[in-house]
Amino acid sequence: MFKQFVRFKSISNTNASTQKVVNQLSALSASRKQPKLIKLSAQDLIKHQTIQNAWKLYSDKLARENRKMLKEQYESIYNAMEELKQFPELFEAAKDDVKAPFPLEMRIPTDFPPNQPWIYNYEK
Amino acid sequence: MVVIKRFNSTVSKLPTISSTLILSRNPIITRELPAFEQQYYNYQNELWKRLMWTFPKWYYYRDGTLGDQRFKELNKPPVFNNPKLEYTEGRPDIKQLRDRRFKQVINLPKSYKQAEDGSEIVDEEIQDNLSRKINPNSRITKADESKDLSSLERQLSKTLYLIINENGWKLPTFKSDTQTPLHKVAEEGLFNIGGEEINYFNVSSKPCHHIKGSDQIEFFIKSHILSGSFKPKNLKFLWVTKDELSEYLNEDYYKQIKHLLNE
Amino acid sequence: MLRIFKRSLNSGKGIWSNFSNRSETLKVQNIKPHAATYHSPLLIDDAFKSAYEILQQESEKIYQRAQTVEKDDLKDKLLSQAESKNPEVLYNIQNGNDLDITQPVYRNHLKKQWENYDLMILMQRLEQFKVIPDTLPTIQPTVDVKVKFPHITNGEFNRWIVPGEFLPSFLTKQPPTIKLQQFDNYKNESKLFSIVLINPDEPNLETNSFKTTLNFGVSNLSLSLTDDSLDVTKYLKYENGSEEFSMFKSYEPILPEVNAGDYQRACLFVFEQPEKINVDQINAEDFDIRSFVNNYNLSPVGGTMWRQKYDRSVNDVRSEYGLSKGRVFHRVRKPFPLI
Repeated sequence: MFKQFVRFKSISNTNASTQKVVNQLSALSASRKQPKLIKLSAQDLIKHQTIQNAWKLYSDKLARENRKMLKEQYESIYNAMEELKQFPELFEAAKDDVKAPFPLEMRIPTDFPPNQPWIYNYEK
Repeated sequence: MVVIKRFNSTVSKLPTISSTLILSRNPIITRELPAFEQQYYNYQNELWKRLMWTFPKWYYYRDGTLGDQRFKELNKPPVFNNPKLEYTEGRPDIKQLRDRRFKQVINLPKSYKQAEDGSEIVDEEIQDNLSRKINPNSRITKADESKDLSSLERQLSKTLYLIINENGWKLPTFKSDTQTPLHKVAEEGLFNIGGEEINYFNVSSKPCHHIKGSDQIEFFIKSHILSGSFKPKNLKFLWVTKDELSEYLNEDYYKQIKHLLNE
Repeated sequence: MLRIFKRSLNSGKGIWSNFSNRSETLKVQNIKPHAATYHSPLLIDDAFKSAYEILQQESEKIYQRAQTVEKDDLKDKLLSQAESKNPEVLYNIQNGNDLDITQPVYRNHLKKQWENYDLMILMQRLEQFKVIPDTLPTIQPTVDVKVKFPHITNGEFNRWIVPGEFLPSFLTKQPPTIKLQQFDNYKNESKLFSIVLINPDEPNLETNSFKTTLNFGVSNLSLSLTDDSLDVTKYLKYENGSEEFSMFKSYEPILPEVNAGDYQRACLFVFEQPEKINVDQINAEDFDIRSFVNNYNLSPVGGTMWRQKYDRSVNDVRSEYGLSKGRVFHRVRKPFPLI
């Protein structure tokens, strides 16, 4: 008896458009694409925990400093405004905040500078 | 004498006031990461790549096409799991051309011609071509190299503050009457000493701080320079960072305004 | 890989590599090497090295703060905090190595572990079986009390017993080993303890109720953090006359009689004594634990319990102790129905 070899996979009887959708969904689904779970050894687990502990300590410290600075800034504004009450005209003027629009030229820091870091030719 | 004294005792004399401008240039590039932060992000990035799904090659490169051929040339398949062999570093776990124990590294075809050493072969004709290699500008500018403290292009990753030299280095300070709002005094004063070509943004009309002397009060106004330049006549000026500011200003004075400044 | 944990990598300058003032038990023990087929996550060592330095510097600050503190409990807390992030200590804790109870960090870890599991089980059993308030009004344990019967060295009972479980009489016929783990003893001092074992379920026919019997009573037992148990060697010393403690009631096992209730509760309580006491005139047959506690000014610090019922080994143990055969209780038919 000859052994029956299968040269190609059996052709599914779905039509082309259905097959296309199936193909597209396969790119989104997790099946066939999951990596293995990370199973850390006892030593590496401790190392990972140490890194996370240090990160927590570090970011807590930054956040604490930031909170302290904001608090000091708020107190500074409050005290300055209290002091300004001696000069009623100035105090009233300071109370009405400037209604200037937010400047569009202000940019968010990027990883690398633009070709021209600073624009010098500005005219009113 | 007596009359004046009586006048003084009835109406208490108001202190003279001045408006000091904290003019800052905001950072243009991101801050320099401390070593630990950089190492932490790199480590987390490696964990993230290790846990990423396999690239669905079957979706993007159909078998037998030219693109598939090019992809295969760039990405050699990982070591095959031969059941007859012993692997000292663990048996490969291959699924969809990826060893599931490791991160997957995908090499994509370059959009530019590459020399043997990896550098780009520049073709004069396609200099403006979108497919040319991206070479980011250096984070260190010429002003940093020449240590030009009066340039606005130095220390791009930090906030710069304007100081001027009037009998010693100080923040620009302007005498104020009791009628003109403080931020107007600061703004006009800046244009008077530095010219009109400054794109200036005032954060608030409220003073952010004050320093009280015996018979005078100094109010601080925060604002940003966005473009243009500070071009005074016969006046020395510098753009310095927060750390450098402590060298130029009086120590007590710096301590009082330290919390207003950013790195 | 093994080298990473070692202090040599961190140039041995920090507080965690200095063992002149710190105990050797804070060193990592029994590091298991990786399997040959194991692959570490990439770049973990770089980040670990910096993280170690950061935590070590923080620990150094805490140690300095601890030197200025006078109060014992606060100092202990700081010393524990200073070592709690040390990777070597974490490794010892998480990998089942022997922990040195005299070190604040290990002691606090064990305390937390006890509070999170064993103490909860104990309190549940004490309340569920109404040990409190049937015996003492209530109890707030601060000492971990563990009991085992060491004369059975194999089989299912070669372990610390779980509070509330049923124990057979052949197991409880010999006095138990009692381990008292203290957690608030910061300076490893010797403290005096008393231990009683009572059975509040002995039938009392005169009053048609139950009475409490005292089955075991020990006082003036001096224990510290390291010398923490009443075990066979101490019982032997006591018998030889080189006594370290006094026994006001020698051990008598609880031997439930036939049909004497569903089960009988064996309640073991540990008290801390303010000073040495001399217990006499104890009525072991009808024991009043509340007046006992008041008379000798004792404070309950821990306890445990188990249950016993009549089983096939009771008669043998009775004859071993020279006791009578024991009563058999029958259901008494009443002239009127119960419901």
